Amino acid sequence: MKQHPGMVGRLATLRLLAQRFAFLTLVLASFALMLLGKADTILVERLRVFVDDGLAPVLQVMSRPAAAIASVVNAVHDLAALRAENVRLAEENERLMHWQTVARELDNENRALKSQLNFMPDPDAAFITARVIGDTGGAFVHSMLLNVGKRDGVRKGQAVIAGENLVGRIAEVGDRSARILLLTDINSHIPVIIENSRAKAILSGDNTDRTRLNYLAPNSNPAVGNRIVTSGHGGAFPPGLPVGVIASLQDGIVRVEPFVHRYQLEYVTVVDYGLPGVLPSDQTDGRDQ
Amino acid sequence: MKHGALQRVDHLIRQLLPASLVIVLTLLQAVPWRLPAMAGIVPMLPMIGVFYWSLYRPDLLVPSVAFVCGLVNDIVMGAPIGISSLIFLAIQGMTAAQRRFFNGKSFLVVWAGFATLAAGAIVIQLALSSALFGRTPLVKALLIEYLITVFCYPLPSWLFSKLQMSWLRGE
Repeated sequence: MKQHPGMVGRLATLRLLAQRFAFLTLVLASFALMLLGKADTILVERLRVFVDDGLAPVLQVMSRPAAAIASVVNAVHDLAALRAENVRLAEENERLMHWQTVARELDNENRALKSQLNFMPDPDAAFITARVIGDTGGAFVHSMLLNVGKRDGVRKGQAVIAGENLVGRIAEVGDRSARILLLTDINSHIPVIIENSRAKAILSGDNTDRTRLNYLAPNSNPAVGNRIVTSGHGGAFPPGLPVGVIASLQDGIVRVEPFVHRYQLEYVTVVDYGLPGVLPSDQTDGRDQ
Repeated sequence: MKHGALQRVDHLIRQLLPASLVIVLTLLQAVPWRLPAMAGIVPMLPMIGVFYWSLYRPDLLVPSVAFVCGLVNDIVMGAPIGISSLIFLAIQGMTAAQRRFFNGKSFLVVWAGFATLAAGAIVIQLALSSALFGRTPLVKALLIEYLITVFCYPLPSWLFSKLQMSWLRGE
């Protein structure tokens, strides 16, 4: 079949126009998505959870060799520092033995006093151990993806800890994946207290490695090295979870170095303390409260 | 016509190769490498894929593919959605428009082209992220991410060219 040359030219022009139009439409669609992300968070969250759930098995497989590489690299690092580490640990052990004795005495005393007061202990927490399958975000977002979800009992707002220390909270849950918002993320605000002075404050992330201590009472005299623990206010976390230590005081800005570093996290614990949480979780949705 | 259906599937898979590779790069950047030196630093690998395929196979990495890849990237990274879509579209558009300039140029020129485009893309990302969502990153971290991204370019680029030779020749 032979086509008229003018026709071919016109067709090409039309196609070019259509392409330009498609490009422009997609650019506008991107902006529309950004606005949608600001306006309708539930719809966007569903989309996120859907994609995360789909990709979780792939990420889980991919994270295995990455973990192997990481452990080799860390092993080489550790080998180099073996002697110094040994000396440090021996010193620390000596100190901890002393503290153990103190702790035993206090524990006995505490138990005796509690029994005299008829003290109601906190309910035991249920926990789920999860693997980190995605360390996502980079400079803009500090979040991580876990290989557990609703079917394992994970709910939005639950605390995530590593060892005894707070890592963050569950921000999104899918069927088999969940996303943690780390303490250092700009959207993370946690009610805390300075352990020894009991001064209340809000620990806010700002996408740096060290979080900021805001709304601290003026006469609370924070000092470098003070431990920060959760206060339990707001019902998001139980009181007393270790968070970090004050690392610097500069121009009235108190910075806290979290105990947990995100590069160390391979396994974390999602803990259900049975607290309602500040986020409306799926469990409490639609129920009388 | 006996192998018509099979051939069509084969053709489709080959056509989807660039998009799949961009998504593989997205997943690679999301994998927890747990390296102390790289804490909080994620090189923007998918940008490399979008740039490469827009340059060498603009018929396969069309704007709609760039858009979808961007959406997947934002979702996996937990970032506000829409920003990567816009950035990948910008990279796709700019690269496809400058194809004639890159045609026949040495690898170093292409690399420099990528470095320039990536810098522009990161500036857009920074502006949108902080203006719309109040997500201001640490400039130092962003700069390191950018440098690593540019530094990484030759390896995926070389792998892609091998794949292009073996899978997409004559397609």
